[in-house]
Amino acid sequence: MSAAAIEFRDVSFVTRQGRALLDHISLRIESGTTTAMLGRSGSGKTTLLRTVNRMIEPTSGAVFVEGRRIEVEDPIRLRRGIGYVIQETGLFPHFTVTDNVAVVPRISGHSAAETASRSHELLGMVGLDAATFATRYPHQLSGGQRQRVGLARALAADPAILLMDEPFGALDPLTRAEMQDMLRDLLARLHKTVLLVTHDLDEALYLASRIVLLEEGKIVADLPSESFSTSRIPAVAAYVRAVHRGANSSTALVPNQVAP
Amino acid sequence: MTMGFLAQHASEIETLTLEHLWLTGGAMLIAAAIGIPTGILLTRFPRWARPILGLANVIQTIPSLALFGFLLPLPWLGERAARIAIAALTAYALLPIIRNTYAGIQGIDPTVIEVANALGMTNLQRLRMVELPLAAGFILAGLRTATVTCVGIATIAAAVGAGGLGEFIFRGVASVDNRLVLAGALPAAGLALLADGLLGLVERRFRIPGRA
Repeated sequence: MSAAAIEFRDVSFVTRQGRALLDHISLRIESGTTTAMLGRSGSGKTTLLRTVNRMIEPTSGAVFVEGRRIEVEDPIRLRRGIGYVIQETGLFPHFTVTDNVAVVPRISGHSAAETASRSHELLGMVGLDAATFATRYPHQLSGGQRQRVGLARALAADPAILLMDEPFGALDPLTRAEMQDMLRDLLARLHKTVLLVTHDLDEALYLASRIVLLEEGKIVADLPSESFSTSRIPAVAAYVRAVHRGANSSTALVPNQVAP
Repeated sequence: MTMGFLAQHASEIETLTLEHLWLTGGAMLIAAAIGIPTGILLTRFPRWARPILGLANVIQTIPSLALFGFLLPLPWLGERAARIAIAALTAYALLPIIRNTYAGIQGIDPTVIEVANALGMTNLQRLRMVELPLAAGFILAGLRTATVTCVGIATIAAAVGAGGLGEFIFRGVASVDNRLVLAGALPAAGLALLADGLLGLVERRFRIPGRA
C-alpha cells in the first residue's frame, strides 16, 4: 500500500486547560482527492487542519505527509510545500497582488524576475486578468477577488497538498458559487490533495468526494459525498436536517415532525 | 537693537545650535539602535514587555532637571559632559521608541502574522517582509515623539555644562535678559518643529496602502 498523502494516526490535541479539541483521530487522505471536514464551530475541524502544516502540534499521536512523520521535519520547509487558504485571506496589505501571489517562491529564494511570469499565469488560472490586477493592492479588491488572489498564492509553489479553511465563508452566496465553480474546474485539472474545512454542507457535497463529520474532536462519520445526505447515522442526519430547515419549512412541514 | 544683538551673537547661536543638534542627534541614534531591537525582542518574549516598558516608563517620569542634577557630582563630568548628557537623553528617548516598536508589531492583524507563518516564512523573513513594514508608521511616530522630546530636554543639558541652546536660556535666566532666553528658546523650538516636520514626511511615505 502506497503512502497516503496525509495520514492522521491517533491524533489528539488537549489544551492547557484540559479541553480535548482533538480526540484520538485517525484518518487517511489519499493523494489527489478532495476531502471536506464538516462540523459545527468548535468541533475541531480547523484544529485538525492546522496539525498538517504544524501550525498546531498534536499533544499525542502523529501526522504523516506523503509517508513522512512531520514532527521531525523542518516546519519551514514543510509549510512552503503546502498550500494554505483561509477565510480572511490574510493577504499582505502592503504587497501588490503580484507580490502576494509570489510570496512563497520569493521566501524560498527565487527572484522577482523569475516569479513574475508565474504569478501572472496563476492569476489567469484563478480568473483574474493580470494586466488589470497585478499592481493593485488588496484593499482595492472585492472579497471574491481577494479570495482568488489567496488561492493563487496558495498554488504558487505548486504544492501537492492544499489546506483550505472555510475559504469562501465570508462571501455572499452568488460570489461563493462562482468561487466554488472556479475551484472545482481548477481541481479537475490539477492533481491536488485537498483538505477543505467548511460548515457548508452544499459546498462539501459540491467540491469533495468524501465528507468527514467531526463532533467534539471526534470523527462521527466518514462517508463518500454521494451517500452523505441519505446516511442514517444520527449525527449526519441531524446535520443534514439542520441545513435543510429552510427548504423543509417552505414545504409546510408540521412543527416537530421528523422528515421521513 | 535686536539686529545688533543677533549680529553680536550670530556665531554663538550657530555653535550652540550645532551642539544641540549633536546632543539630540547622538542620543536619538543610540536610542533608536537600542530601542527598536529591544521593541522587536519584546514581541518575541512578551513576558518581558511589562518589566522593560515599566522601567522605561520610570526613567521617563524622572524630572529632567533632577536627572541632570544627579549627574552633577560625577567626578569625571567636566569634559565628558556632552557624552553624559547624551546618555541621559538616550534614556528619555527609549520609552517612546521601545513602546511604539512593540505596540506597532503587536498591533498587526494576527491573521496576517498567522499566514506569514503558515506560508513558511522564517522568523527573520516575517520581521523583514511583514512586521517591520507594517509597523513602520508606528515606529516612526515613536521616533518622532522621542526626537521632539529630546530637543526640548537637551536644553537642560546646559545645566551640567554639556552645551547646547540651553546655555543661552540659563544665562538669560541668570542675567534676567529675555533676549538671551529667546536666543536659546527660539532656535530650540525651530529645531523641534523641523525634526517633527521631516519625520512626519518620512512617516507619510511608510503609510500602508488603504489605511488612513
